[in-house]
Amino acid sequence: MNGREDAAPPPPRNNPALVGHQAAERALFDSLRSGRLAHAWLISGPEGIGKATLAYRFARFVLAGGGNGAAGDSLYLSPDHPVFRRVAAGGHSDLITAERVVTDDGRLRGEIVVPDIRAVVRFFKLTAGEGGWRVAIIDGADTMNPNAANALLKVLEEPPANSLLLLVAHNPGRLLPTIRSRCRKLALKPLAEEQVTALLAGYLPELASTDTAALAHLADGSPGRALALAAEGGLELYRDMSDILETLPDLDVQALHAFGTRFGRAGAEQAFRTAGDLIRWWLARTIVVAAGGPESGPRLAVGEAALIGRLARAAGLDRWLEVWEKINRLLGRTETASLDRKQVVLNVFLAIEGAVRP
Amino acid sequence: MKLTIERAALLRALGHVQSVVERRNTIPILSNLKLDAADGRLALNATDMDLDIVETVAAEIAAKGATTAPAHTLYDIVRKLPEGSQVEIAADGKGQMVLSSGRSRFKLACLPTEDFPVLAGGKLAHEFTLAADELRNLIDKTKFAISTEETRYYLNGIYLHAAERDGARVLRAVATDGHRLASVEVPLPKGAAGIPGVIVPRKTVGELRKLIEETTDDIAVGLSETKIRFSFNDAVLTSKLIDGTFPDYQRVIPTGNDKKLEIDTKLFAEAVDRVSAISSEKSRAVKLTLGNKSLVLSASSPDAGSATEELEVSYQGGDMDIGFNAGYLLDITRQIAGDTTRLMLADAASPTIFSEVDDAGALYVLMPMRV
Repeated sequence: MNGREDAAPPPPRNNPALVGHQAAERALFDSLRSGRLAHAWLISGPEGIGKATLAYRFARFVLAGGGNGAAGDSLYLSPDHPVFRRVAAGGHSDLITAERVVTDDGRLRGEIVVPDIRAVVRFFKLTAGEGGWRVAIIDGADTMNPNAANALLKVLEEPPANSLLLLVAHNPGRLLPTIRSRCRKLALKPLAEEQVTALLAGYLPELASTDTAALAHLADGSPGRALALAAEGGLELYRDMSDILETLPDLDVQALHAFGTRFGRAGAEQAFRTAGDLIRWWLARTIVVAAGGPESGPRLAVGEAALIGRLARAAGLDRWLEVWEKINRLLGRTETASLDRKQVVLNVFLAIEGAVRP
Repeated sequence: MKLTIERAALLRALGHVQSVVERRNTIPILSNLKLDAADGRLALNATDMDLDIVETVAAEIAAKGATTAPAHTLYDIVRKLPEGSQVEIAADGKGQMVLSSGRSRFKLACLPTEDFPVLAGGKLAHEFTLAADELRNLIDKTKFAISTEETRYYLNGIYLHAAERDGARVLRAVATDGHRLASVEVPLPKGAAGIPGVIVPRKTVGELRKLIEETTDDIAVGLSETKIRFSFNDAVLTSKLIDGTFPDYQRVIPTGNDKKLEIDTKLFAEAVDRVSAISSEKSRAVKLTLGNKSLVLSASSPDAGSATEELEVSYQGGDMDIGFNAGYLLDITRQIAGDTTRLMLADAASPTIFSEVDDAGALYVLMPMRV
């Protein structure tokens, strides 16, 4: 990327670089230039592709007075710019952000709650401190609980002059329709695999290049996801998973139990989520092949393509879709219903076994 | 940055500014004060991003410079240092500040000044000066009526604007919460003729009032559509404004009230206070029964019993009963400095005007209660 020393990518608030999304950037820029900037934008797209990075980038540009005949045609602002510094430190009086916060007991709250949004509403009731725009960024707007969402509606309906709301959501369908309908939509697309590979190589230079490529592929165009996978040993997880699936149609029960036990432990929430994503991703590939589509996957394990081909033939498309539905439901409910994670993993694999067995 | 300062001077300035800084802050820079040393003065800057206070104190500056340090920690340290001591502050510009006094030595983590919010800067379009007394008067007599209801955010402050009464131009402060309204004015200062009407937020009003408690000098006021700034002595307070339209309050000030009642302020307040002891906790209603030259205050509650008290008044408007919230009555009588309070009434369902007989510049409107 730019030869940075520290491996971890900066959070969107401090990240001066944006990879890809030129069209979206252009749309924001042109809208601001035209003098008829929509007051609310819903920036959507898969997780980890730079939605919040784009939102912060635009916020900085607007707060720095960009668009008033300023030179250049990108939203870039130098990290040395005073506005960049203040935004990065959280010290800009005309920017407010809401996201899921870590509570006093150290846990990340599952949703954005109403006091967070009320602060945003109050923010818009006061004039701008630096005399220009007032910008609010709601990162993970789809995690607002219904009360929080309703509290936000008022501002979305009657925004004061020179105010800008940037809603960032990877699951915009979960937002209230009343909120969605009041925002201009900006859907970001996943990055190209080369872009993710390049980013990964910049952030994790110590990774073997084959692993980098594999991660980039697993991540489906999301550098954020690729980094998360790398941090959680996603590749290893994926290989173990493939090894177990290899034993189908008669699953190696012992290996499966050992695999499942990993997720039963306390603190394994994230690993479980990653495993869930990987299973879904793997199933999706199988379904594509079962539907007659081409096989496209990383060669992480020997004979993987053969395995997928074999499984896709073992059951019909309708059967696979049923399994998909079932597994999705199960994984989705694990957290809300506090299901035993090991049991869920066992069930997922047994469901796959059930589909494959003649 | 390197400087030496008397503990008392530093403590006094810190005491003024640190209350603005929120105690619980998730953003590190917002827990900090900005210290800026130059030309024999140390400037202390505190902000909560809605309002910003800068106070300057004389100090012996050995090396110019600026940094930011945790406000409450700094205040705590200086407060606990022995009286009469000298404080030495040195910052290396590398994220650390050393504060030493006598044998104590503290190392504090600093953040760069570039991260600190900028609220105070910029020239404001309108500038005028007010005597400290005038400003205190404007605030004190209206503050009680500021609404705390967040849904009506445009009432969460004092509306400051230029107005005209009986041909004289005035600067008027108005606050209301929908039940009562306070309107106080002073002669329009030079330079304030073209000011926009602005709503000064409640928190700013509170902080400002604390700061000007002992001020005797004139106070310079700077004003624009989006900001207000008060400068006095060694302090400058800059604040955001409420972005809203204050309602047309003139319409709720009745003009046709013809029943005039005059009463001794002190006796009235005491009587209301006594009688209200019996009225029920929540509504606190007190009934005023007006007759020829007499006023009977009464309150009753199904649980506690009843109370009446008779007062001598000057009144010739005919018999009528009217009820008020005792708390609101007391709030108003507390603002009236003169001996005699004047009530202008219409009927039991219409708002009543309270004013001071000797001061036409202040008036209060109170909505009646059904009793």
